[in-house]
Amino acid sequence: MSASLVFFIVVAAVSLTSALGVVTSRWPIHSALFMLVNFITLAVFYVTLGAQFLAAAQVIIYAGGIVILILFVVMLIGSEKIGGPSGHRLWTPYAGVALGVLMLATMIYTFASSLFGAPGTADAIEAGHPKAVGMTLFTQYILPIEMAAVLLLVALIGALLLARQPKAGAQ
Amino acid sequence: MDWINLLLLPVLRSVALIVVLLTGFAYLTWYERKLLARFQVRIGPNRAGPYGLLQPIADAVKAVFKEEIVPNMADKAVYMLAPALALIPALIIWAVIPVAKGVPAIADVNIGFLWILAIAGIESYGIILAGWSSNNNYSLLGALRSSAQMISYELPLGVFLVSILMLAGGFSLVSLVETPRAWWEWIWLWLMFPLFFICILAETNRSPFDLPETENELVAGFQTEYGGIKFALFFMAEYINMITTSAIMATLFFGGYRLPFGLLGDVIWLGPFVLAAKVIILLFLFIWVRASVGRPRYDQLMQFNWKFLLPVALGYMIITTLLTVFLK
Amino acid sequence: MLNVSPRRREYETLPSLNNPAIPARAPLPQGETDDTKRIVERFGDAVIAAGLHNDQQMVYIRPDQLVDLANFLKTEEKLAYEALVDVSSVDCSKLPAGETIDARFHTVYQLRSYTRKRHLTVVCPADGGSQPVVPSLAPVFEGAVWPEREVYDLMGVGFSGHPDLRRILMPENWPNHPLRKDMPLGGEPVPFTLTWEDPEFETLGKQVLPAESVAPVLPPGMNRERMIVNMGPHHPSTHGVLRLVVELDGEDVIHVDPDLGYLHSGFEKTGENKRYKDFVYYTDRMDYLSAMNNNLGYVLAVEKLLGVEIPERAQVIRVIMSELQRIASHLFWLSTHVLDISGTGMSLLMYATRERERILDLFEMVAGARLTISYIRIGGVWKDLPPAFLSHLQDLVDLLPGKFDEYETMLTAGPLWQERLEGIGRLSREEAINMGLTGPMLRGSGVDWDLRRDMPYSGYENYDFDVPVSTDGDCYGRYIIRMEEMRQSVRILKQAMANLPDGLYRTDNRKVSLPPRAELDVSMEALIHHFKLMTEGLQVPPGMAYHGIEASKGELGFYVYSDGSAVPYRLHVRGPSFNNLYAISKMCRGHMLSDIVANIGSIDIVLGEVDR
Repeated sequence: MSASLVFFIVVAAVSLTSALGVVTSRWPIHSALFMLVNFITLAVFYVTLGAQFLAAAQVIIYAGGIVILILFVVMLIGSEKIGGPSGHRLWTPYAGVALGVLMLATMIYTFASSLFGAPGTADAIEAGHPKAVGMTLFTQYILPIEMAAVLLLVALIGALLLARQPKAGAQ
Repeated sequence: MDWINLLLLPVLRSVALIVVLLTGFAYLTWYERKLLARFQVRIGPNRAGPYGLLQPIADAVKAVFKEEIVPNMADKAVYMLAPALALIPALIIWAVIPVAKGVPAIADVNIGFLWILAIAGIESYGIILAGWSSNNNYSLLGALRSSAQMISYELPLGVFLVSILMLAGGFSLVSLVETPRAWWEWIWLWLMFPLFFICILAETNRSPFDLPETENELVAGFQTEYGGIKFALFFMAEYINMITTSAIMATLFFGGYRLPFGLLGDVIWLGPFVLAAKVIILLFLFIWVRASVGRPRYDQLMQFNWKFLLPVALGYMIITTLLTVFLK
Repeated sequence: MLNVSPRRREYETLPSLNNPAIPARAPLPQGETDDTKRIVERFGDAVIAAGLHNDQQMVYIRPDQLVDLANFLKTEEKLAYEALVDVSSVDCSKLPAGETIDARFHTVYQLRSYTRKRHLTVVCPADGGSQPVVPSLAPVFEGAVWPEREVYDLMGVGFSGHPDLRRILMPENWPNHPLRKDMPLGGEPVPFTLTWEDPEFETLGKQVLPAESVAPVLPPGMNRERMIVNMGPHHPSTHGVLRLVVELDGEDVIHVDPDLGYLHSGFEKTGENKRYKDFVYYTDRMDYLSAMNNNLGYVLAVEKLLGVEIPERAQVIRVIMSELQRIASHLFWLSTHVLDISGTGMSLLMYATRERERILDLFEMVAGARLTISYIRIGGVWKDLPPAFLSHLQDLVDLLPGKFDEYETMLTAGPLWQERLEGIGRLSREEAINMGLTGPMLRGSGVDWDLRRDMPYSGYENYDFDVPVSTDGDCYGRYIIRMEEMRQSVRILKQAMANLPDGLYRTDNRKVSLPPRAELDVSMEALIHHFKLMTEGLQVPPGMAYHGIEASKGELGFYVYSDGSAVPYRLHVRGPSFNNLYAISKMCRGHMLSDIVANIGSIDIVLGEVDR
């Protein structure tokens, strides 16, 4: 067994365990922390696959932004222990299972070709490098990028409007 | 060979790095106390060993043997995890910093800059979790302040980093140091250094931006409920962060391990010492600022960031873009 | 199993030496002044007595007309007593029955007119025997809120119409009112009764109480839904054991309620059981940062009752000491204020304490002590200045202005310092007067008032100095004022040094001050005086006196009621910190958490004096 395989198995185990931890933990904060571990293991996978830019983006956006936001919400809104299944609505488990199956099916459909096809070429690995990512994003996909940027701007302004306190004099 | 390359060498390098950093931390506390004492017409530690040089060791022994106290209503697992989470980013950020000609600390990845940004992003975890899990109002306020501050100051910091990146033309820190720069590039970089340094002060929660732990308002902020070795870990994180960010600044702005004008450029073993000297000078700056600049209020701090620093950073980036396009 | 402290042994003299005229009530005021004439015209029979007593204007008024009188005094333009400086009370149960008044409790109000530079004492005998009730003056003068709470707490006088009548210094569930004369000294059960032998001792401090078992007690007007933070009693910047219950919305302060009494040590009750000369040493411990000023305030009140002349040299020495103390206190205020607000504090703390140290050295030179000095005594000062004192003082006076400039370059010139202070804790002129604030707090809000200039004592009328006034009313204005006050103090010091006369440093009135040791060997009379003073202490004629001085933190007033014996019958301290601290709620509301710290520093409190 090669060292990289051992490494992969270890990281994959951590990744799966933490993913399970997210859904099984009774404390919202612990769930969020498990999610953080999961995101970081994903970043490690990206690095081993040569997609260093993707790994860094994963950490910056998910670990550095989104999980912190989740933590904020949990901290400020309250973090009581989550009760057992009795606390849920009746249909939630079924809906969850159905969504999970749907997602799995989509993943299999998407990856079917590469699962049974040839291993990734040097070109594909090179595509993970920052330069390649940048070139693709800003030539081929320039329109979606700009649209996403505008969308984010709109969201930002919306958030500002919502958060802004009405001035004391108004009304 | 596979094993050696993949595991043994990085582990050895990491251990060496950690030992150097921890020693550096210990003597940074001594350095800071001595310097602050000089700024404040005092003498500073002088009891343990000559010139108080054994003081850090005495402090470490004290911290280790203190009673472990965990607040009754705290979330114990998170409470214990937080100091470690604070320390780890401070250490692993070193992985990409070149310490000598062609020798990065751990690895020369082609995302050196992004690595710094990414790790800076997760630095606030330790503080947030510490503040939340202590179940103390002061801690929570400190944690909220700190995370808001760190996230806000990451923005101008990131924009400044992008500007440097554009000048350098690549993500790798090693090639950044190796590639010679034109004279106008140096001047343009140094113009930005004070602002970058301000961002760094805020990122490392150092005075005058030490609002998360302002002892005068929040007792000790996020670390109010921490004592003994757990407190020492936070302390360590703060000081190692200082060393780390100084090393980053030395690398980005002052040529890292290289002497000016390419002097003695072939002597590889000189690299770490040159870098250390630059780091020590930058650390002096940290301490000097602490001894002489007053602390702003929380909202003033945020205003300064959003209304001054970020626009300036964006403007700087735009001008840098133009410079890069037309002059390089 | 109660550990009960032994009962106090009464101080006894030989029965034949007991003076039948002691104890005696303070005589009623005689004669009249313009102001009392107006009051008598307006209130007629409700005025029990009015006139002058020990050169103080004084009015005895029936309780049902008290509020009307206060309103009249405040609004009538020819009287214009805008401020209520102090409220205290006397329990007359150990005094012989009066001719016209037989109420057990009297409340005593000190009113001040800043525009007319007049002072008026109003005495109100309370109705209701041992459960007295007096109408509250809080609706008229906001400054009455805390002093009336204090009187209610310590003397058990109820105030009808008071907005917030809670105990202020003693614990909420304390059964007694300690300043009443029937309250025994000693003999109370001591609540901490565990000893090493008790089995409970093992578990002491190790029980873990569930959070629900302690019911939260919130000050009135606070909402538990918001974040409630206890600042103190152990907090780095509350300057002692002050506890502020703060209601926060995010970082914005909604409401602040100070909780006092953690350092309450019963100075007033102690004073009523010590001879006059022995209480000087206790005054040091109240505002321990300006001990000389405390000495001076107390001594002047007693001397007012004694009517004793103080030699010129002693007066000048007192001025030197109290100005030095003012500089020392302001220096310490400056350093801690900067420490509270900004990170540079540690540097400035060391610089300012370095200069303060020089002043303490001077104190050590004259009195042998640095902090609790007790140098100013009844009748003069303890000892003459040592020969080297003046040259050292000259060095200091030459050095200080440069140092003040140095601090100002560190602070005033820097933008951050100004940003942190400007607009914080703003108080308007009317608010400041109405709340009974004094000292730099009052001058910071634009009231041009300094007791040293406007009601001179100890010969301050002979000195030429300016009174800095700021109209900003914020922390920055108060900072500028204190810096300028230090410069003016240096000016006074220079003049005092130039005009220091030769002569006695202590009065030669042998009823008040001890004869020199050498005289005892040759003079029988001196021996008798010495014996009388050391055994009985100096006896003070019956009467009451209030004397306020401009201490470094504001008006420090001592109210002394003498029954003719050698022990004050009632001793009340009007501490500037206590009265100024009342403003904290108003100053903090609407600002941020960090500004609370700035406000505490700006008020300049010493908890030893707040809690007394």
